[in-house]
Amino acid sequence: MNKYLILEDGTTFQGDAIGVPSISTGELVISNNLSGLENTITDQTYNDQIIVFVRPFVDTGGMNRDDYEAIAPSCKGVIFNSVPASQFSVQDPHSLNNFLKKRHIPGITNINIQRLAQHIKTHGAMKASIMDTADEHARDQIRALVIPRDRVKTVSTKQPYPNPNVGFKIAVIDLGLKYSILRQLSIRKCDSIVLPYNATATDILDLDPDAVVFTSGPGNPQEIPETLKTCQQLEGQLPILGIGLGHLVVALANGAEIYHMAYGHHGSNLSTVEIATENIEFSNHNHNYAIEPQSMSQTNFFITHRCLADNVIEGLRHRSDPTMTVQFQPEAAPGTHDALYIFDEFIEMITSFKQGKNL
Amino acid sequence: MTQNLLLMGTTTGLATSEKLEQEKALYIAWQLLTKRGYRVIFYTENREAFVNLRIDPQLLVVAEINLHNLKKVIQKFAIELILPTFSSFNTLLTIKSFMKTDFYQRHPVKLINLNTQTLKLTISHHALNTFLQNQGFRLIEHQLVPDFSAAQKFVIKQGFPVIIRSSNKEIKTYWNTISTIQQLQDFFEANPSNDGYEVERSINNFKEITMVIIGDKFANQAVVYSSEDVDPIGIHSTDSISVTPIFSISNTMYQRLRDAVLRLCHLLKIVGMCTFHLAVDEATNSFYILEISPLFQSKILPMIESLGYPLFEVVCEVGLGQRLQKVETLSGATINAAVELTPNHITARFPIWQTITQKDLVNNLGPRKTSTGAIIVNGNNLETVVMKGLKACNLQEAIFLKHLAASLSDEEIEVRLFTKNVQRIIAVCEALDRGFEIAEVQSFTKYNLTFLQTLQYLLQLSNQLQGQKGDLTLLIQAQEAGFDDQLLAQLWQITPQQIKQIRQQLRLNQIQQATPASFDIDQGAVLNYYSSYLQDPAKRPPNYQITLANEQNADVLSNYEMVMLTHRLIHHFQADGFSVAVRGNLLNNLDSLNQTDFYTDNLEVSNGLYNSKNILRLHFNTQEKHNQNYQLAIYNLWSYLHLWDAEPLQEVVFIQDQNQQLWLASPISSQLTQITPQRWEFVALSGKHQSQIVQQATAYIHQILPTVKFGTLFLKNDQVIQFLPGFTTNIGLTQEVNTNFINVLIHVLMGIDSSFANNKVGYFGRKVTIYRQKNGLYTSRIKYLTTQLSNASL
Repeated sequence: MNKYLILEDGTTFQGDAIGVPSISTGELVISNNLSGLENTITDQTYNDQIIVFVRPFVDTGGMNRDDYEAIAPSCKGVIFNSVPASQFSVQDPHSLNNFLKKRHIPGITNINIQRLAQHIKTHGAMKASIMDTADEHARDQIRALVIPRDRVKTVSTKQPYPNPNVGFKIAVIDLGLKYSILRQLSIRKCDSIVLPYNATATDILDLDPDAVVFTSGPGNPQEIPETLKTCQQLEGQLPILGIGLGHLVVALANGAEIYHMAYGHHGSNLSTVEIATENIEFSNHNHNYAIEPQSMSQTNFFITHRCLADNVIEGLRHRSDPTMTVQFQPEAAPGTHDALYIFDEFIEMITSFKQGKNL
Repeated sequence: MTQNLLLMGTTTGLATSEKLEQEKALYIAWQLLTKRGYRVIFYTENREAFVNLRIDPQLLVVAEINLHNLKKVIQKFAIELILPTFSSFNTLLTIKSFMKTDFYQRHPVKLINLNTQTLKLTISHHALNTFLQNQGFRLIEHQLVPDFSAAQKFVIKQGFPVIIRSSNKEIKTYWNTISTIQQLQDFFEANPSNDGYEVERSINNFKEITMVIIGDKFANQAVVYSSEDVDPIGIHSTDSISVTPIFSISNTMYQRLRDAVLRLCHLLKIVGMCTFHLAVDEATNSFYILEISPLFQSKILPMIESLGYPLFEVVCEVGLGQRLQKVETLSGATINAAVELTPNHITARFPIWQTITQKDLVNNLGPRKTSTGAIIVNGNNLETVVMKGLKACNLQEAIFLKHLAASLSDEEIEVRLFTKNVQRIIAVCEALDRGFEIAEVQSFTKYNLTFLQTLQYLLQLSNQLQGQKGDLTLLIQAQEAGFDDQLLAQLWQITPQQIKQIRQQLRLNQIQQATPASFDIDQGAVLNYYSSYLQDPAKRPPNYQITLANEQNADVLSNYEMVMLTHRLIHHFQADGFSVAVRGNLLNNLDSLNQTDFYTDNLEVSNGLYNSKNILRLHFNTQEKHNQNYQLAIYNLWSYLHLWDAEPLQEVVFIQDQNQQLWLASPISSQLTQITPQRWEFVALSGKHQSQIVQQATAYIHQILPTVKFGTLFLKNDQVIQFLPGFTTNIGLTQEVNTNFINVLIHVLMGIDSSFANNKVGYFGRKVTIYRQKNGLYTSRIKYLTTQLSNASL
């Protein structure tokens, strides 16, 4: 069945339907991910977005439950360069088509991905619709669409829940949590408790945690003032790690400004450079916003990482407080293990902070 | 102060497509290093035609690569840096020996892209295993055994199959797969060795993975390439279909492999490029490092070219000390070469074998390499690259239309599935077509499961198309999976034009797509195009003034000459200011400097793999020549061998303009000698213009060929005995001797006045040794006899 991807500016792409046969509208993002389709589709950072996969999908092994980053993915659609016939199998419960249908995600395959990617690169990120027809009515619909402003609220947990272990007690503020963050904390024996995005500083301090993690998540951090306030109140009292949206939350809470990027960073193979060592590492990125470099002078942070492709600020460290942040996703999933050391540094930071405090 | 840099390493004398790749790499390296201000001296065993395009002959040393000569070269040219370029075992041994000498202590030279440890691990399998073991890597069970009885004990412990080779320290020996005691006995009888034998547990059902890492001296590394073989381990990697990027292992396993190779690169302090071959068994979640090679491997070069990554430019730059993120390419752009590519397409390499006819192709596959070349295809899904590959290898008709194995019984098919030979793919398709379970076919063949599923889908599509003529949904599905107009027309028994009309109504167009990963590389990318069918508006191609189209031939010598000829033509057309496009699967863009548009495949062009000649089609749409077509053919050597008896022949290439003004090349004198029933030697030497030959040739052309624009005349005893409407495989020699050949040819083809002055710069010759095997395959080995162009003699 034919399906159409219609962009906000009226540009239309034709392809074949995959997933649930519904129509959908969202913000279009281009993902460079080479592997780890399951991680990407289930990543809550893609909430309300239509994900375009540049790489042809070949693997016929089906969707692997072990690599899910959330139980209920909330992206608005998926666009593929190509999908093998076996992934349309009705019998195979793990086929991509069945996976998308079960989760009510519409999709399109066999579209001219190069033309689409080039268009986004030239004209910037825009809204798009997955439609059954390409008529004027469909275009009007997309023009009328207002991108929702409460994405974090949608994806964040409603109730706190624990991820018990025997090590440091970490309060994980769920802004769109990826399970892999919990996995990495578990590997380091951290006793985590996941809290909703609007948990107050008092709520958190009442739990007497050793540190706080602000997780990655979707959208604009300015839409969650309650989280910014919590961050401001906690800073200096506890070691803080900000990841993805959490990085922007910490930056905003400290006086920095942010801007909307032309087409964002979405992919598991973008290279960043660690400023201190000039070492290059590859990591998973997923963000449409970045810190305004000029505004850094208003903060007490120094820059630790930058993206090699466009010099975007990718990591910060507070000059005196035990606070570190990264814009990329060090937990990988999908992607390389190059930046896993960030979690080790965070644990070291907690250890040092506790030793200092005890002294 | 200018530093003297030695670019060293022999390219293979064997005429294969790898030779071409090696020469291309040399050419790019030479361009970049020269641009960086180095005085580059070439030291090689064979003349390299690509390099000869521009190199100063005073800086070219053609001599056997050995310790003695290496010392002389280093001394004569005051060499400070050496860049060994290829995986030549002999070159590595020579360098290793050199580094042990007192001479090296007195004349320390810096190695680029190589260090002592990687050199050792590349040369010695035993050293590699020891190193890996010390670093905690799992090893395949192996042993050095002195004799048959020790090997037998190993086999009793590990079970069959095993692989074995004699442990010769001087020359490279090949692995043999052994499945029975009898085979083991036979091996020992046939391979006496004083150095013992290496025996290893066979892992022939594992997946073979290749990864290429680039590292700089600041310990920055990037995985720039990964590929997976479709055939199982046990079949030489170059004889297997390879696909990039890796497509059938999990993200978790891929990251484990990546972590492992990066760790090794770090330990080995790799600066430059390093290739890793790995074996993966996902059933047991294990992997092994099979081989580490710090040098360029010509098998993967065209695959990397298809990714758009300017590999050689990057390797040279980081070798000279640049940071990976700040590499200046030949085009002058400073690029971030620290990228792990996300190709928006799939590239596959299909091996080919040199035979006179496809029927001769009955070759068995095993650990020993037998293929002589490969065809590279690109597509936006695996189905398309498989279809393009099968078409380019002349297998589409056999599989989808003629069903060549249809008359065989199920039992016979099973036997063929077990038999590792070139024809097995036909039996695999027949088995899948008959409804054999995929698991069964995989257990017999050990082929990659995803590949088998792809084949099964394509066969199902083909059967449905035959049964449901006119089904448009099916047509879209099939074309998106790589069925071209010609095949569909045959399946539906209508014309390709009718198919084209139908798909145009469906807005299903042939779209040209660029190969570089569009979101990763911007500047400095090496751009090539490939085509696919999509329901998308077709972009009108630029109006090229000149288009050159060529399809690959199984005869690698004519391929080789054609690539040289075409590149010379491109150089001249561009120098004259024309816009040029090149189509075909043999030719692609080499470096970031070249601005020619290369279309790596053309769905409209029919296959010419086993033709007796390699044809270059030229289309002119210039002011002088509007919509004019020409063909330049290079005939395969075997197609005109019958002309020789005991006497030598004279070959004269001629070019004639519309006013019958004639240009004659200096003659080539050639002699064919049969050494054994399977082996011939074909010696060609350039000569001077002789009045008798000139007279005879001129008279013949004026009388018999007054309107023919170009061709080759064969003369015997000063009499013309044969006219060839094209060129022979000696055309490269003709071009080297007659430096204005291309210029004259172009101007006559285009109808522009040309100076016919013939500048001779030197005389030399070459010997081609042809070895025809019992299984129908043949190989050609090239040796240049005298090289007066190479003045830098020792």
